[in-house]
Amino acid sequence: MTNARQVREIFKPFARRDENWKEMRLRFLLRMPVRHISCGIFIERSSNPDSFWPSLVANALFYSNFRNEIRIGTYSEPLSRTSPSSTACWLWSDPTAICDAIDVITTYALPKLSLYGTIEGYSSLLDGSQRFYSEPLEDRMIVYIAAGNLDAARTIWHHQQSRRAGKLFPPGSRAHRWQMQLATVAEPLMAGDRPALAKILHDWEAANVRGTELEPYWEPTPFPLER
Amino acid sequence: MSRLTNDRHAQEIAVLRTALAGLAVGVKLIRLDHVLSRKYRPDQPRAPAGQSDGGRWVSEGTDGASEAQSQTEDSVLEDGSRVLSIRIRAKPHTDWDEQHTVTGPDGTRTVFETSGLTQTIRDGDSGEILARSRLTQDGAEPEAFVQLARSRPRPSDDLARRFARALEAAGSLFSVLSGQNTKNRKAIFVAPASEYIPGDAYDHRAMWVGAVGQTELDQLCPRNREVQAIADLVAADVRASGNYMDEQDFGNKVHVGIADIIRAMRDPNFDAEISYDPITGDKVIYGTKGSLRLDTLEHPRPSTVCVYDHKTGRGYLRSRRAVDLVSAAQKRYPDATTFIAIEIRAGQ
Repeated sequence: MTNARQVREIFKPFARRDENWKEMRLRFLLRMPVRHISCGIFIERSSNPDSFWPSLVANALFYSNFRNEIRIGTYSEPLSRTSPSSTACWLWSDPTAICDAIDVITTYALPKLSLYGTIEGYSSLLDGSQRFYSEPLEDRMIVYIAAGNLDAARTIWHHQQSRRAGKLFPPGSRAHRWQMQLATVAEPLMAGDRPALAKILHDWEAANVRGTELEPYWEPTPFPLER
Repeated sequence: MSRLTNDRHAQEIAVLRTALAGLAVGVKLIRLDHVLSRKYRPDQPRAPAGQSDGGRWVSEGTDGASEAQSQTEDSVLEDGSRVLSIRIRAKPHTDWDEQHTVTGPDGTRTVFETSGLTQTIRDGDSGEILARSRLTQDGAEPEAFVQLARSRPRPSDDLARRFARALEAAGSLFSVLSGQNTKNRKAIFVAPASEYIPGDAYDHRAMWVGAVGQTELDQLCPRNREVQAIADLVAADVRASGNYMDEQDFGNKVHVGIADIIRAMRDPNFDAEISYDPITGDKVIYGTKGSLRLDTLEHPRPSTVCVYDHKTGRGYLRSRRAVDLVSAAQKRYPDATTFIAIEIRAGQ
């Protein structure tokens, strides 16, 4: 089974030379600082001890009641091998795999993580050009609010509210969370009350981060909405 | 004609249609009873309980080339569930009508009657119809039905509990039917659209379990052939390499090999080896305690989610896992309306 010692070989060039990276438990390399979106590289394992799979991960922290696993993220993109002679598989037994992983992270993942670590960059995912972005509309609405694009957020609100209103969803379910999210932002969103919306998002972000492994690295900052 | 008259006319037509549907089922029941009385023998060959091939069809009783044919099979699953299946057809080369009676570990009996693509699910003791649906390219569409006069209306919570048992029975039937999959015909479990919530619409709970041909399968889950081909290819490669310690290791390597190929396609609507929190539907990392791992997931349309469960060697899809798989998919995709489970046997 993929272990910390193996993963460290991939993370070593980043975590030991650059203060902007923090090696976390469970095979995760966290990019610093952590503001509204946590970013990093995750090495997933499988039932085959020889196999692993790296992904770039971005995790929006400001959704309602959403302590998402930071290694899964709200946006996750599997990293494919680039070496022309290699197979699709990432295998520890392949002597080229570690170098290939470091290369893919450096040349492909890091620029993307730099972009998606900001609200402005993350909201560029909303245009639909990124195939891996498949967040539900209620969460996209929150990203639009954070970015200050209230018209786009209102369009989603009206569309989704008509689908969710009056329905019962089990507490704890994704649909229940979306329903609560729609209800909470309804009034300030319709009124264009930016300070009230910012307070809602700050409160959610704080609730999602406090007490987690991210808290020591978290830096609360204003949303673009507040500028 | 006034709107009121139109409405009344439509209501009368609906009542007549449901009455006809009920009569059709009644006729089929009489036919099945007749076949049972002629053909069923307690000593017919069956897969013994507890064996790895439990749940396999045992053909029985062919009447002749030009006359009605029937087959029966009695299967016992690991959890003690029992599935008695009867298949009849009027003539060779015509479609089979099927009746499957699933007796749960607690003795609850649920009957699945399938004629063509229409399936009626009944309480095996009272005869009460629990659901009726027709399989279409969009999944299981609910159909109107009339209730038998002898059945009493149930409170909604009681009905929900009974439906939950029917769901478990459907999982058992799916497990048995998956054991009979062939290259061009596979069992599918089309699960209800949503978790039951008091006050939810009754027609949200349409479900369908049975074997379908390649045409239907292609309409429902367009990448099924691709999944089968990848599974076959990986199984052959791993087998040829000889790089496995035992059958379990072989199975692990096949699962991971399939996932590697599918992930490399970088298609978010076609993913593999994904772990979910079965309560919330949120994705979690591999090995998270209590998580449920789906082998391959296809999301061909916003309304449809196909869940493929890969099997190698003598392993088979357990009924509980079939229900858990679709349940996890329901929680992950609460806006989808059709959830389909399919077993894929690697190296078939």
